[in-house]
Amino acid sequence: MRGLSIHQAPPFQIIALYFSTACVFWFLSSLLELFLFFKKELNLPLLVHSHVVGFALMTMLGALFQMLPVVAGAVISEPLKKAIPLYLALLLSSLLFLDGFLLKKERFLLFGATLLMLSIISAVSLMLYHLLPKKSFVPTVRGFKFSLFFLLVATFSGYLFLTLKEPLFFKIHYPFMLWGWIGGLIASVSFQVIELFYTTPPYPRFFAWYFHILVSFFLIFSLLGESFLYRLPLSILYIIYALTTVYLLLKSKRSVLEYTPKFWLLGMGLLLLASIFFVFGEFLAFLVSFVLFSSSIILGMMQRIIPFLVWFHLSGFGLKNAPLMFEIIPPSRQAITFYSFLILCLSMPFALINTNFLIVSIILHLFTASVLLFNVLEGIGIYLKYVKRGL
Amino acid sequence: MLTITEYLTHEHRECDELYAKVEELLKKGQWEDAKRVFAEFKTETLKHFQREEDVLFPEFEARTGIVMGPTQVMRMEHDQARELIERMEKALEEKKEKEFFAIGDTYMILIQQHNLKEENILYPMCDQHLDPSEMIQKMGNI
Repeated sequence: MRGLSIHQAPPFQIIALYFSTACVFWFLSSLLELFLFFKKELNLPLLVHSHVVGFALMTMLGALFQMLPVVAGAVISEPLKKAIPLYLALLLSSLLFLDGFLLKKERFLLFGATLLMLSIISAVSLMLYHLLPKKSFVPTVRGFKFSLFFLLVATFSGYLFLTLKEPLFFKIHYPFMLWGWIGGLIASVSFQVIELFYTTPPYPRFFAWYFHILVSFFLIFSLLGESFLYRLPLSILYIIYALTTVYLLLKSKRSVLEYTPKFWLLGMGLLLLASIFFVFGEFLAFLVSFVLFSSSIILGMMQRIIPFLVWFHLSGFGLKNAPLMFEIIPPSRQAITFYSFLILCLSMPFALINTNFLIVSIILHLFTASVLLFNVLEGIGIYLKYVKRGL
Repeated sequence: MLTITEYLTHEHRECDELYAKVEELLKKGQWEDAKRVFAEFKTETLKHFQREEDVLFPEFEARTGIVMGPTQVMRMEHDQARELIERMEKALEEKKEKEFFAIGDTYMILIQQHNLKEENILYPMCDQHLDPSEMIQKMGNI
């Protein structure tokens, strides 16, 4: 029955920690790309995991701590006492895990992977424990449950692949992680955010309600054979989702100055590409497009969530004329991240054709990550400034 | 039969559409029309808050005994929204377009995360514990 209370609202420190760490990871991954470029080494597992674990996982778990009480009424009591140890465990295990890939030391990698798996299981168990008893009145809440379950499957299968070297586990690991966890969670969020924040028509009810069930079936179906036909249903589902989202965004009645809808549109374009590359078995192109898709959505949403929560908490503390969102991350600074990221995306096909061109994409990544990190830290700094001086 | 969730969610969407219309008119530089639609938006939004604060929340609190829970958070967010509406109105009066959009941007995120909580959590709880037709009739009288 306890749905919401201001005392139960997640403290700003949680999202600030998770998001700022994710931005640091994204920045470090661009430095890592630079290092590997000059070493003339393409360490794909390291690069992909620095994005998926360091950037995406940290962001998405942080966001879930915020969204569970707001969207689902799943209130985690004493959230700081749970979120901070989980954060430390995730941070330490992610670093060890990525170091294992970097140093190519099997024992190091397995140790890091074991710790990371335990951290993820702890985080997912905590969230599902509070989420599962809540009735899913809307597709978003149901989507959260499915996405967290997909994360568990992806984590277990990844760990089993590392330990047993059985290819089947890799075949389970990456689609469950990308399509199930990342794609599934982004879709869950979009089912509410797009309509509400941009005054668009809603997603077709039937589509949103059964989306994650279909993802489950099609994920399993994709494992049954090697032919492209087995991957086709999953791709078609995500193509329909991406096209629907684009259609809805174009129907938006809002005249906004900020760049989040553009990040969503760009993200959906990249998702379409990822879906097509997935069907045709173009693994590298699929991975690149999918990682860019998820990064686009995260870039857009993170630069909205941080300023909103800074304003919301300061205003909730009774600060009159608390800085507005535009004063915390102005649209002009959000625009820098959008355009640099857009050029990064456009540079990628050239980089895939000629690896010498990678340096351009890496520098653009480094630049975008630096501005994002600055924007997020600046927002957190504004919050801390007011809190430290007693508002 | 209409549920409380459906009835009040419909009001949310009506207010959103009115606000979006104000933005559209301002983009076209039609200040007088924007002021007129904004007045309508303000009236409808405040009426919606009043329906909840005067009818729905007290009935919910009386029935469930939960006084310092979701309804208290919703009242606090209504106050935050009221303050932003006043500031938007002032910006409109003074023809400060950038300021209006800056305040409006924060307002929209506040009100949409507020609506999320109501539509996903509070209204379904109200539907479970209260008589929807009686509630809708009482709220309609405002």
